Amino acid sequence: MRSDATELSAQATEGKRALAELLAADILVLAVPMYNFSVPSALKAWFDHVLHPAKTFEYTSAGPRGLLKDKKAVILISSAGDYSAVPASGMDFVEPNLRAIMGFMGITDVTVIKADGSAMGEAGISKKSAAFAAIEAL
Amino acid sequence: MANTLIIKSSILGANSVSSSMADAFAAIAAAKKPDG
Repeated sequence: MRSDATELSAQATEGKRALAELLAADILVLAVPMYNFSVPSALKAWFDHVLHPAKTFEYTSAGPRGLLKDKKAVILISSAGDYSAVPASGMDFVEPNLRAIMGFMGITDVTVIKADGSAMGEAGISKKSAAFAAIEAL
Repeated sequence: MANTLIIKSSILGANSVSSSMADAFAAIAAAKKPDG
């Protein structure tokens, strides 16, 4: 069993590696399933490592400013249910969350491809096919 | 050549429909990378 200090050191090392990978990238692709209306906990942990002051954002007298100006993001979102229309759309804490984080880091060139309703029969199959076609067309 | 970083975020595997599809998305994206 590792000590708390060893565990924290390992997490810091992993976080530095994740940040370095992001800073070196020109294009960020996120493949994101919806879990319980939000992003997987592993993705939240990744954001907690890469949302780093003076690296990916900074605060100025005018407020926060993103520092990743020259990157683009492609976000691929899948969900078992269909959250494309009210009232279910109010429970979608994935796309708004990811768009907000991209903007916070300064990434404004964002493409979102969604496949809603993958567990909802024919409608979901149709959306899945459309999503795959959209990815192929990128 | 553009450097593409793919973050595959599913953690529930085949027990989750949305995980399976997100993994498939990631695989397609990886196949499209110049360094494949």
